[in-house]
Amino acid sequence: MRKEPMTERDFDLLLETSLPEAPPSDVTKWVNPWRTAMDRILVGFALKGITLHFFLLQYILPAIGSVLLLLGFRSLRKENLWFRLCYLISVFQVAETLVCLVANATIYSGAVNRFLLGYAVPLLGVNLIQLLCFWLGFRAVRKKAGLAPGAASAFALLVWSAIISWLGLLEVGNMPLLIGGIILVLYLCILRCLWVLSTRLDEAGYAVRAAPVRVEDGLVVKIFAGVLVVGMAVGYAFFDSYPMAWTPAVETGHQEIKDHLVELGVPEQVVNDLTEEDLAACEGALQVIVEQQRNHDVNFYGDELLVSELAIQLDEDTWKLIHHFWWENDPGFYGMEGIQIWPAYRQGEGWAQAGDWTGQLLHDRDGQAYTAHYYRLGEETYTSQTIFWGEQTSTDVFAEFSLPKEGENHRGYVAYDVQEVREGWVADSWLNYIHQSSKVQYPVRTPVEYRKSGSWSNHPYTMVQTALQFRVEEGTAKRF
Amino acid sequence: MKDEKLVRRLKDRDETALEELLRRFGPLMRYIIAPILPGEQDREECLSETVMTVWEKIESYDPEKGNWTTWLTAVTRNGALNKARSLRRRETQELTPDIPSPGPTPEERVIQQEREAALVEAIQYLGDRERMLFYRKYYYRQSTAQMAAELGMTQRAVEGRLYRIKQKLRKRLGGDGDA
Repeated sequence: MRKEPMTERDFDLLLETSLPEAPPSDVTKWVNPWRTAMDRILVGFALKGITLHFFLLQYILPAIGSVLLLLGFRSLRKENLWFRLCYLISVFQVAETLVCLVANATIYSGAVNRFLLGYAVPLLGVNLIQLLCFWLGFRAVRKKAGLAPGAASAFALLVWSAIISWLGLLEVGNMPLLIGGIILVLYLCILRCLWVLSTRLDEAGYAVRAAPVRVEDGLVVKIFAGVLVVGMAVGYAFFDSYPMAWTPAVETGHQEIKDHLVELGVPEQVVNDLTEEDLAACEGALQVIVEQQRNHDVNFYGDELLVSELAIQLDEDTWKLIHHFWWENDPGFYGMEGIQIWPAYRQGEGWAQAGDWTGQLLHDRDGQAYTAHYYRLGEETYTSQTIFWGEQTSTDVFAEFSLPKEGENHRGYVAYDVQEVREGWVADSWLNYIHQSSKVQYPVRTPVEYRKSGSWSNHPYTMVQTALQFRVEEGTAKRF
Repeated sequence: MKDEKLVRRLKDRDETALEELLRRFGPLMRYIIAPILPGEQDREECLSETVMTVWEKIESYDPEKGNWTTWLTAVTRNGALNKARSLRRRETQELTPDIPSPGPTPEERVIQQEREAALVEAIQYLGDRERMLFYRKYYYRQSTAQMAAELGMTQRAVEGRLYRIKQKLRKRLGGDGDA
């Protein structure tokens, strides 16, 4: 006789009636509309509350924390107004985190972070509002369950965060180890109290109504991770170098000036790279000082960077100082390049600035020269931390640019005019050429940001430093 | 510690302990009753009856055999299932008042025990998340909507996962594996 297959309904009934009376204890612990959400929220706050500056944990932990807060509050968003506000804030925070993490994979990392730093107070305020709403929501759940509102540990977390935010705004970065330790221990104690309170609240948590979702938790995490990975990949692939506008170079005139400069000793390559304006300014040049330095294996690829330093006397007191660089072969890696110049007038004595900063970039492709302006060229005043001298404010000249993978003879120069205001003072003008040698860096720092940070770690940059130093004695320039 | 004190007071026949039981564990009991009994009035009646059952059966609670929440969950669920059964019987009797309600025979009880043992063993082979979902569906009798909301899933995903769980159990229990 053929056995009839059991229908779905019969099998359901069989399962329903075949279970023992008492469920396993782990089932009673986890079948609760509150526990998973609360665990996520507490872990989320814990991960966002502390910043660990190693192994990229300062980015990874807050990102995970933001997602956990989003998932936790999403589940509780219909429970009361306070949790709904927490949810809305967590959506904003996840978006902000995503923007920051993706921007950190582009050359705009510093700009985006500086922009957000401008809104530090409102952003910290939003964090505190979220904690305040969490505390109020916590109280509302207890009240609904007929318990005393209480939740002092949630309030303690709010107060702790307010103090830490305040210290952060005051830029109390290097606090004594003891105080840092106390703050950390306090934080762990508060989290422990919250954890215990949350466990006790399991009884009240059964009264919570979880909100339905259209997108699964797992999918939310996958979307976050997907957007992050794609965003970072796009950042590294398409926003890892400066957008440069290369145009075919037009043959410059002023042949007489060129011949005159070559006669004075200016290398022909440098003369041919000067702009019309710079050439014209050199008409009637009186004397020239030239220093050349060939830097081998800048990038460990057998590449050679030839740096020429020139001082061209334009009239009795005015000199044009030129820092010219020339990659004689493949630079090895094409990313971001930077130039930092410590100008001859930076001491404010002996020499003074006498004109604007000029220069251009060039390369040859298929027998044609191409030229471009620097992505950025100009003076900048900045403050940096140094181990020996502490906080220092400097005004330097920076140039930022990228070189194309195509072509050869990548080169360029930066020039400026100085005036001798006191006889006998040494003119020294320094060039720091910063070359990116690897793509691997997170967050992306531009060469200029790397130099301004005063970092001891070179990665992923290598730097070539040269100097032009001379003194004028009785009208004759002498190398110093 | 708090639970032990409450149990002690209940065992000592302290009537004020019932208030604390209702205050602290009322949400849990309501949470268990709600999916089994759709009517609000039936739920409240069931809650009151369960509190009385706890009062009467508290001596049978043995902490060695399981924790307090598990025991209370079992008592509440049984109360809700009995209430649902009696409501169904009442409706059926209203339609066919002469049919007696048959209880399980000794042979049926033995078969039931064997089934329970086989099912409990089969459930052990499920993953933790699958096991929780299984208990929600077949022990707590929660709706797909409730499970979906509490687990952060869509209803369709819950249904799909339950279907796969059932397929696994069918195979493990020696069924054909197909619906």
